[in-house]
Amino acid sequence: VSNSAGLPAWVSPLIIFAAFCVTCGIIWDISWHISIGRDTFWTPAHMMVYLGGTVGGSLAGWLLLDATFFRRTAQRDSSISIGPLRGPLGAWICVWGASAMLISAPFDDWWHSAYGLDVKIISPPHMILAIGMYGIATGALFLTTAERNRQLTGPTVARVNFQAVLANGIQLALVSVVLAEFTTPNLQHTSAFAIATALILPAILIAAVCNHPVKWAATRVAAIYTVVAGGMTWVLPLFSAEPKLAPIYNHIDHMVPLAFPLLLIVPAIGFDLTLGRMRDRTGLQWNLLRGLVGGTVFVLLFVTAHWYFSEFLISTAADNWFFAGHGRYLSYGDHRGPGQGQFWGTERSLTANGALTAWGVAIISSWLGASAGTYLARLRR
Amino acid sequence: MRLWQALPLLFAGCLGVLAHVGNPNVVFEGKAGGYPILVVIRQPDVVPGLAEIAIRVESGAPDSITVLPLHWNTDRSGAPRPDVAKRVDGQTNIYSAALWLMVKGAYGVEVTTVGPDGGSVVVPVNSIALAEKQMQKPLGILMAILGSLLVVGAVSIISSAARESTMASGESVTPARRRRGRMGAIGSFALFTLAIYSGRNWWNGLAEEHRNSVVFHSLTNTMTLSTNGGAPKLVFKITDPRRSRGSYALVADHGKLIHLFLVGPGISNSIAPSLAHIHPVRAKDPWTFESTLPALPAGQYKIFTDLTHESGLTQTLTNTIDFSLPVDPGIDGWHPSDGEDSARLPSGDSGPTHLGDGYTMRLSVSSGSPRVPVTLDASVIDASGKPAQLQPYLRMLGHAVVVRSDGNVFSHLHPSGTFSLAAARRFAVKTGGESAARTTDAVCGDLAALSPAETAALGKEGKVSFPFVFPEPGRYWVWVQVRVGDSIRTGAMTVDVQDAVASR
Repeated sequence: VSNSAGLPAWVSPLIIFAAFCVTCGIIWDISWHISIGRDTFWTPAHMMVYLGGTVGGSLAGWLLLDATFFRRTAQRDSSISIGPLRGPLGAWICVWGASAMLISAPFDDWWHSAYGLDVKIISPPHMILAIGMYGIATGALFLTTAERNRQLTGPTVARVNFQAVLANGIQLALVSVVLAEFTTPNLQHTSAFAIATALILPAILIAAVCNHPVKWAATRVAAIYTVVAGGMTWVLPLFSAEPKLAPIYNHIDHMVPLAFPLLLIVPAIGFDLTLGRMRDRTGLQWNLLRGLVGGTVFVLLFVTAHWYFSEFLISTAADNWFFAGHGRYLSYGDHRGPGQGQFWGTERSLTANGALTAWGVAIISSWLGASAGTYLARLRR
Repeated sequence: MRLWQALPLLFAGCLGVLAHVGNPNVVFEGKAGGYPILVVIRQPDVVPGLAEIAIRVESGAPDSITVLPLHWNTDRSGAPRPDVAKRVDGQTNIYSAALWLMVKGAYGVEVTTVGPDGGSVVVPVNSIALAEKQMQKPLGILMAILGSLLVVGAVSIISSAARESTMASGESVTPARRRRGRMGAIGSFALFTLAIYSGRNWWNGLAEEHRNSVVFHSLTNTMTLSTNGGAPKLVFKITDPRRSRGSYALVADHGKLIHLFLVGPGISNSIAPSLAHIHPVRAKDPWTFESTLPALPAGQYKIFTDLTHESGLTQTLTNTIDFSLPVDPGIDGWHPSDGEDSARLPSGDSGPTHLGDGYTMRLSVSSGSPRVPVTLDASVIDASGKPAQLQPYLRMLGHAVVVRSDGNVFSHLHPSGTFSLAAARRFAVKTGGESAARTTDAVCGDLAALSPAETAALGKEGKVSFPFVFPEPGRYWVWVQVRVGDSIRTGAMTVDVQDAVASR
């Protein structure tokens, strides 16, 4: 089913599938590194990331070819041009993302030979890989959003709305992975946690509020994030695993997942309540207002919620499969001890200055998100 | 030895400073259970890094061979399941394996032969990061081109998106939209420039952090030379501004806390320079050591000091010292601080080396090729031409020292290989207690673990050999030290190591 300027109906599900593979693949890969340790090019987690990159990149490449050569006229109204080439903006972003993922590989390989196999998530080659993967997820959001905008009045509106929201939730889940080094429950009382989350998360949720013509848009996006990230946290430990690198300080027999998802649903409800009715207002002044409101809501709701929720997560009460807290799941290289029940980095605890900085950062982030979201609401190609 | 060259793991070139200088290869020769094996481990130069292991079974046929990394700070429960070494294609007795060494410090690689006569041996290795590497130019250019393409691509996409992406069906590009497209290009280009600039600063910061806290810096040391009534005295002090020396407590390796080698003067001469192998004794504080020196010829000396730490980590400290004492050259009047100190003056000997008292040492090397296992063979005969009885010297039949003529490669080795026996013992205690340690002592050729009769039997042919891997081409000085006729005597030879087969 496609309208006059639309894409074949299977394009959106397939590109969402690609984004999903990349997101779950990278979470699986991190789990692999903290559970088994040793990997090869061919681990299933890597294969899932490659599958996402390949499906996303080649589907998008096909869309560019299709719009450039085969159905130039039919695709006229759903594509933008770069030189002689044409294609939907989302497809361009996906192709760029897949290229970045490819290019990061030799760089990462060299990085390992120069600085050692990285044990950190955040390194320059990994950031290029992450931006590439983010390109796939963002391309999926742009493709589904443009498709929705072209079909707003059609009979498929419920489906295309859902697809765009779904792509947005997966994008949020992927972004949250990059933040994982800052969002361990034991670190959630630090300024770095507040600032790092304020930098990225409000932008995506506020963009969702402005973008999707549905009620509770941010809440839906946050719910999808929670299901995807939480699903990985709950499913991964069901698989057995054995560490294959020394030294092993913590003996495990199953995959170690990432922590319980962030409570993004809390600020998302706040964003929907405060900003949901302003969706039709466009212009700089409205976006600045969204930034101010969004940033404030984020710090008040999210940072506060996690201040208390993290106390629960590091307590023995959270030591169960659902909350995955109190160091229930530790890497093979971690020392089990009283540290699991304590906050780390207490010398960097959230101060008034830190909270103010996070507030400022959240305002800017929200403003940028609002600008992006109102743009996405108008995206046609 | 040709077949070893087929091994993919022994190909790479020289590295910087390791314990032992300029040689990443650790060699072990001895028995794992009833099977005599030769093990070559190429230590990684990054952390975490991959240790590449080659094992040759010298006789017998074990069912399989496994390798296991043991970290110094954990017991056996901290090790994963052992890896089964793969037999190299086309070979019947050569196996290869690779192990990740994840954190810095000492590791023991436990090599186990599985079979009716199987057993284990632990070869100690270092897991340390060496100096930061620069990206090779071709890769750098490729990455720059690909990176530029990414930026150009992103700027083009953003520009086009700013121009066209919100156009409704049938709408065409207006001048205002074109302007927006240009603004998008300029704005995004500025943004990417800023991002690349910040990325560069970030990378520089990471590299500096790597240099400061990951790259291994050997303990610093000072040497002072004084003459006290004519006899030169060396004061050797371990100084370390970087770290607490407490974590670097020393353990004795085959009986001595410190093995200090002076090589010179003018080590690039065509004849082997003089060598002094001394064991300074602890002075007032735990980090100061003193030793009398023989009156060596004046000139500049390279000094290599081998240390083994409690963790099993080993390192070789380097230094240089000017030797210009108003004393006639000679070693006859020397009263060593340690009974097992020895020295040899430069000599133009070619072929057999005259060791004094009628003894002669003949030295040979099985191959002059780099990066393959070779054997340094020494045989000593007495004045009547009969094999001389080798007596224990520092609990071994012999010691060898290998120095490349530029001073950038140094190894101190034994009949069982190039590793520290003290480190091997430490890991043996960890895996199997004191009884395993005694087995390890015997396997590693520590004569103190044998009876006097066994020791005498081992030395009666007057022969001793040392397994070694020359890390790269160059001219090497090789000294072999033995005790015969109740004196420590040192023979020397020159080995020209070349990629093409050639030696002398």
